[in-house]
Amino acid sequence: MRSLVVAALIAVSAPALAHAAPADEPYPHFGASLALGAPDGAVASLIGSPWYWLIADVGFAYTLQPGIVAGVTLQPIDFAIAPTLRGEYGHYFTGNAGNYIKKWANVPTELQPFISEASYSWWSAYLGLAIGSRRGFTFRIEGGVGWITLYVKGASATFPGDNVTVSTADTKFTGFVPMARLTFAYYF
Amino acid sequence: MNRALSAVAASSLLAAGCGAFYLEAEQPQVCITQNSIDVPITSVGVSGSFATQVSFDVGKWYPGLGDSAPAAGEVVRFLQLRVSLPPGQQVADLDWLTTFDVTLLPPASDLAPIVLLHYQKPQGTAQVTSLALDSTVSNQNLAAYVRQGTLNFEFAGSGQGQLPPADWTVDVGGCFYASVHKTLSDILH
Repeated sequence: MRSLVVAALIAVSAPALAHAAPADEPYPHFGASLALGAPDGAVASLIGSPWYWLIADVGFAYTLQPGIVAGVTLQPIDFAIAPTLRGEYGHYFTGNAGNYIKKWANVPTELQPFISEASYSWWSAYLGLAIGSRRGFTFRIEGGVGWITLYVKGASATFPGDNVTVSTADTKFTGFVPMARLTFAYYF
Repeated sequence: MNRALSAVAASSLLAAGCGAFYLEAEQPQVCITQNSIDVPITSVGVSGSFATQVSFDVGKWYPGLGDSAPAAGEVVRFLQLRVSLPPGQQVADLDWLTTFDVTLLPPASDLAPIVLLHYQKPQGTAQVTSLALDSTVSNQNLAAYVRQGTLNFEFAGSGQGQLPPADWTVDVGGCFYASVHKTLSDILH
């Protein structure tokens, strides 16, 4: 399925790339960006752009724990407002997200021992709009879909009140969900 | 007209999206052990029998499961039974236990009881204090048997030899597989 997404990205963008006008002056090959999104969280990235229509980025992400996000954005039209197509992979490393999740999700007391270490990753595809200049500052707003996988580490606990002992294996959550992302990029 | 068409198209896309989007949770194994369950002896002597019921509150450890009538996408499987003797009682071992059945009781009359496993004491075993017995129906979805989050098991068996002199206690654990698949539309409704 992931390879299909990549193939679709290339197939959709290839004709536009073939007919895109070459730049009149050199485009910057590098840049930096800050992004906010779901499920990305907050991401600070470095950008490499071998051709003006191809923007690759790798970044450090942080929400409940540290992670990495890597993506490729196709922006085939050089205009103040331009459509974009983006594919992305992200991964948040295993960390103790339990306290945050318990607080935000109002987890029942008896379940709290079972929420501690968690990690998640995702693949996503976005359509969006880039507003600004490819030779300077650009703002992108993107919406799309993605596959997300979350692992919560197993645990064991005894509840004297209920006279019960419970142990769980790692729990896996998967989903095909809508995703969104805002990016502020500067090319230099 | 164009606005109306756009609104219809947008609504259709949203509805289609809600059906296509999903979340799935899978718990490969949750083991719930009910500690120190009292088991009455119904007869004493060189042979005897016993029967007791144990409820496993699966829904408590898997929120939302079995709250109401079973929904499509809910799967509960029984994997293994674990029996052990808690310390500090008159029963030293389970060597007297010759046979027993574990039956899942139906929550409604339109469902039949399911025999989850049958234990027959193997030859030549001695001083057995714990048992781990795999279900004989581990692939069967038991979601329809969950009511208010609970599965009700009946244990019935018999023994011979050094029987417990009185009512005895035992730790009984059930290990389950559970998964829930819900579309965004299910969740929003």
